[in-house]
Amino acid sequence: MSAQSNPKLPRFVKCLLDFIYGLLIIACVILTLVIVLAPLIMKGSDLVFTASVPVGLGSGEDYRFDVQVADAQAKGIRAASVSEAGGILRLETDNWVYLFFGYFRQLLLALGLLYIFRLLRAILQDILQGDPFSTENSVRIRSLGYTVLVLAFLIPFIEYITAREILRGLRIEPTLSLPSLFDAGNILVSLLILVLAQVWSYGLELKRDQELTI
Amino acid sequence: MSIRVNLDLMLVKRGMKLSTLAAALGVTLANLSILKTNKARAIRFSTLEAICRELDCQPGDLLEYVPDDGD
Repeated sequence: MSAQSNPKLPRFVKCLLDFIYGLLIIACVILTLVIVLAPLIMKGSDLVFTASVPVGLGSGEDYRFDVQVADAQAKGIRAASVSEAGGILRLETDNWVYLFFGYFRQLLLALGLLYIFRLLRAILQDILQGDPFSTENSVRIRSLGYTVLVLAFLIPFIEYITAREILRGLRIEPTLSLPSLFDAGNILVSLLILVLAQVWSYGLELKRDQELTI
Repeated sequence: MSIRVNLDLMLVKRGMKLSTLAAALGVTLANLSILKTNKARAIRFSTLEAICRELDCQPGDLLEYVPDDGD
């Protein structure tokens, strides 16, 4: 069913994009306020904040947790175990340094998503107006791909540096491993978007050919 | 420019206005202007046939191959 024959679908998507865009604006404002005001609030007060660091529980035999299997309900399963578990290390702290990079990472992510959703809203607006294949949309899709690619490296890098600096100063048992330096899933998504940008450019060329065919 | 469209010359020869031809062909004046100013990328055989019929000419009267400067 095309967008013209079912106009409710793109309009629903537009409403969803607008709603999430609004939430992202609020998130950016709140995170900026936290980054600016938290050091002032923490200074000279007994307030304790929670810093979050993504970590792993290590790989190998030492970090394998056996899981009990209830025979009556799990036919065919001989044994089960969990390994390379990941999670979030939460630190209650009054040290602003531990907090800053976590909130900074979230603010960067929110700003990146805000830009992505701004591009998506503009593209969808052109589609609703019946002119999706334009030079502007071709540039927008390419920008979208590059933004996802940058975020796929930047955000995990900040998480890695944050985790490394925090874990360096702490003695934690069991030993925790650092998060990955890049997000492979989002790298693949960015490459898909960049390929789609090429397809879009070709579509724009076909549209121009069609317009200039008398 | 490799293919030149001599529509303006044929219109002068036949004493016809571009708007009259556009109305006879059923195409917009803007589209026919694109053809006249050599900005078109392609022309349909059906359009070429209709122009030749209205202007009583051959396709060779309308289309001329002009080698590029580099050739």
